[in-house]
Amino acid sequence: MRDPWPEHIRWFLDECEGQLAHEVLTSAGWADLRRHCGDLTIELDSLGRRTIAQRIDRDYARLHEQLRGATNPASTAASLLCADAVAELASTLAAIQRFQAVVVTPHASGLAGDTVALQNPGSEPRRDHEAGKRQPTLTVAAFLEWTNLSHSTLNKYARLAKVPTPHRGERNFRYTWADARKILETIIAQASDGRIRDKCRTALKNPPEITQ
Amino acid sequence: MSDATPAPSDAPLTQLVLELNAWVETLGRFGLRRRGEGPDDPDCLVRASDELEQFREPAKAIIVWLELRGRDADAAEADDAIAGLRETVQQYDAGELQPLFSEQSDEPFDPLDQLIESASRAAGRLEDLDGLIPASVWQGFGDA
Repeated sequence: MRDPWPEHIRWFLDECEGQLAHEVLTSAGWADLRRHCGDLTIELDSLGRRTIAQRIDRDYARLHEQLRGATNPASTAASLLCADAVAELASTLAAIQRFQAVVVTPHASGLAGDTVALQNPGSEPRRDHEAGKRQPTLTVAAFLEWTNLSHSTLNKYARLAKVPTPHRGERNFRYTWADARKILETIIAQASDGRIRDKCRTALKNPPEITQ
Repeated sequence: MSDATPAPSDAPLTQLVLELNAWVETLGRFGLRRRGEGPDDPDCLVRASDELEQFREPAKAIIVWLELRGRDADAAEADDAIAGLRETVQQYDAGELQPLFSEQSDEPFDPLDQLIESASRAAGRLEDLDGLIPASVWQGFGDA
């Protein structure tokens, strides 16, 4: 697993002190940080550590939001919030680094509940027996790019297909490949617009790279 | 919870609660006034957010550990308790807390009282949570 970089982010953001937020956000260092957080999130997700992956995503998004909103460097509240967002992301990365050995241990959630409890004392049996099998997944953006459907069409048929959909404001939601297929099959079976049905047939014939 | 002080690695949440309660007590006695570093240095006022910083890493380690052990709901509860306190602390430091007046009391509930109450509430929530988590969950925590 890649080094989570807890010190790197502190060092980078210390270096940025005194710079305007837009200078930080357009710098090569920030691009590096964004790429790093993205790669780490994907890596953790593929290890079955989705909750931790989402935590990095959330912390990064909060820091990004704070930096974008930091238009008044003299504002105490803004600087406090920004410093807090930096410290939150850094502490998340530090905790992941500290428990790296556990993070990379294969996630036992695909096993039956009792077995999980024995191997991982104190853990709760996972309700979703499919969850730990490292299924390929798709972000909403990747789904839309792949199928060329609109957001509203996707939501409408996802509900009709009775698959889990993102909650309002939920970031980093991912459809499993099985659910993605189910949505497309529902559209093919139920949509009245032939062009939409054709889009879905084409998409099913050309699955995105992540599902192969 | 046992009366004996547990080793931090054996019961990190218990330890965090103890330290948070100690901070609440200090806040109640001295507010945010702290002794200067040298014997002749005058007392100084510190920022609440600087004081709260000491709890960030231990709390985050606990939260991430709980998530690694599949106890997402417990992690979310710990996260929420700390986040609520952090929000109050930021409001306090930014001067956004105003004295509250109530009909039941002649004295206002000033910002420091609100800060202390928030810290105490966070400690209480974490203590409740600690009571629900089996000791076996923390096995291996101290090894990292």
